[in-house]
Amino acid sequence: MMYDTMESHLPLATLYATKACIEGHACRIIINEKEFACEVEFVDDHAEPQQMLEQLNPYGESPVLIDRDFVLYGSHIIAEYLDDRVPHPPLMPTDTAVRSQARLLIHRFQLDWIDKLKVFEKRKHKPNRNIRERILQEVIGYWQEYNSGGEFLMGEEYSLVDCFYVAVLCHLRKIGVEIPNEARKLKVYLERMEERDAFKKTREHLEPNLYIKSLKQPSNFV
Amino acid sequence: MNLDDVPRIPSTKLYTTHTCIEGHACRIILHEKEIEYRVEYVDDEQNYEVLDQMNPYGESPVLIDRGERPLFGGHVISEYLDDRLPHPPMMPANPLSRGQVRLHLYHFRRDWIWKLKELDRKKQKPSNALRQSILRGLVGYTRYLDEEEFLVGDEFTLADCYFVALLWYLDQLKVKIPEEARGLHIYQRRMFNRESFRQSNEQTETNMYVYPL
Repeated sequence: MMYDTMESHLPLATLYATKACIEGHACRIIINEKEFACEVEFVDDHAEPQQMLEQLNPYGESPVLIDRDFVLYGSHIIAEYLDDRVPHPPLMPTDTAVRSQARLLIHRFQLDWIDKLKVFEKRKHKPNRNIRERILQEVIGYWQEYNSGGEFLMGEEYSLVDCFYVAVLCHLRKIGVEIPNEARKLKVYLERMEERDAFKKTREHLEPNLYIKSLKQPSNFV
Repeated sequence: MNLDDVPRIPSTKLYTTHTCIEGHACRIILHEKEIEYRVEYVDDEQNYEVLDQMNPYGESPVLIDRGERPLFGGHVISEYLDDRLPHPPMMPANPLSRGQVRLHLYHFRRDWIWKLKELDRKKQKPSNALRQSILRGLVGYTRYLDEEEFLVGDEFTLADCYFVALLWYLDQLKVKIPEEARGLHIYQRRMFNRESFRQSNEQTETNMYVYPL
């Protein structure tokens, strides 16, 4: 069991997601960071994954979080809910202006990459070279724009933004977009992020093939 | 207008189109919080370029506060305003209700506002079919409002700001709420009489400086 025995009397929350879902991955990292008592149910393991998602939310999207009988979707909403629900460790910057930039970045990741990559994934198409090249430039661009030193994307504070950014970077690697050696700091950042326990625990579901059908895992694996 | 004549220039500036629902929601929040602000209406082509410069997605609204980086995405701006000025709070305290407010915003934006915004940018009015489908969707929300005063909990929240801006937009397009939706009717009347809402509607002239009363 991954969850704390102290909390085991509480009813469990469940995250429903597809294995390849970037946002689902980000949410799983957050859940691990928070050590939140939450099961992860991969809808790919079910006979009709899409149908299952459509029953869970009106947009038929992954991920969905159910906590008690409260249903949440929209990954930025799930992420903020987790941060509100389990305040430690805090994953939103304390400064108001920085917080707003964190929200803005998650919003932009969604528009720039996540929504687009989702379309490819649905069609089981690998994005072509031009698109991959452009995305890589954007990824590096964000790093250069927002990292002014500091260990994390937005400086000294680890936040939800990093969880989303790392999930995107992971996904990109699987479609053949590698961070080049010239972007040394970003590469080091990614290596460091991947060393975090919260990330390592999500790892088993990432290998080796993006469009893998099913890996039978115990459902309480977070 | 000569800026030197203005005793104090608010350092909060909102760029929005006249018909932008999210821009309107943000103005309601600004009045609710009694934040002094300027609003710059960007309806013509030339001004759209201003939006494009501040926001890679070229969308209204954009908020620039105290010289910080421009903010966009209605939900990002509204949460920022609520963080920046905690009183009166416009987000509930408990995580569940906070999630509910955010879900309302997500639905409003995704189901209706994005579509209307796209038409807005093309200077088209929504078709009758779209108006009716939005109306049906809105009436779906009356199940909360038959019993409750606000969308979430007992307080006026960001979700209400969005909802009332949407109701106003439809009202301007002469979309009438059916009689059966009594809760929604009463809600609309009450909200349209709210001070922050009335103030938000007082200034609609292009490029003028706006101060809360």
